Amino acid sequence: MGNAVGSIKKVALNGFTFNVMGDSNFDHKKGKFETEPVVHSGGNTMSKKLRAQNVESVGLQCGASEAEVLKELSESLTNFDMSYTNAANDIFRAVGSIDFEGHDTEKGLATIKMIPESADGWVPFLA
Amino acid sequence: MSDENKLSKESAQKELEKFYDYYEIETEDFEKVDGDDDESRANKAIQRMQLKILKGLMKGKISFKEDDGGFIIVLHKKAGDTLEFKELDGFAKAEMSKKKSSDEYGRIFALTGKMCGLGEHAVKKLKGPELSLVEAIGTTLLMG
Repeated sequence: MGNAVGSIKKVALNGFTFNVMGDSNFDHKKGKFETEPVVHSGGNTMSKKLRAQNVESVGLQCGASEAEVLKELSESLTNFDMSYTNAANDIFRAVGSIDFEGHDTEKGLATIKMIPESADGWVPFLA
Repeated sequence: MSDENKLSKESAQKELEKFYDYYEIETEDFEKVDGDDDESRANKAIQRMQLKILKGLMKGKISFKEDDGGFIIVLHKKAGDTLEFKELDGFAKAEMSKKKSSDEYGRIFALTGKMCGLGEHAVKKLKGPELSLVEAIGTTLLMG
């Protein structure tokens, strides 16, 4: 199976669709657990700590009006629908919220972190 | 999609009336279909959309519900999950304005994509009857 890999195509937050920077590389921590070795004289015991399945370092093309939308969403006390479309046109959905990390006005780049509310994290949107 | 959402024709018609009542869509306005003028052609198209939504309700492919968030249209997908379209608002219409006026499908996908919260790509990803049902709902909301 020759799946395409590459840039993320679109991000939708509460239905607002955002363009994604071409060089944006989503850092998606897919596993439910963060594994760390606890070293002892008999070897290593694996410590499995639960973590959120965030999608981090999401670079969105962002003008002033988009920045206002992101600001409002990041301040919302209610979780909302989120989705992203990858290079292979697969869509992943979750309900959650975002952390608006920054807005580089020179490049028109907004950086956000998408945080799902469910422990299951992101699920594929099946047509 | 399970059978639990299937409705008789009478029940489906009542549900459809709820949808029209909520959005204050006057179906009498679309009754004129005689002739070949623009209005008649548009009304024929709307009536086809109405029939499509009615069949969708009868087959259990869509259902309506009202809660604190307003009027919600639920698409029961063949894949087993659902897609909820929240109440139409100005933000949904504003998403549509990002598309060229000649891009009719793009405008409907933008509108319904905002309403479902997952964006236009999720709507574009739908296939066959599910896609045409969403198009029918989007068109009805736009023209109604």
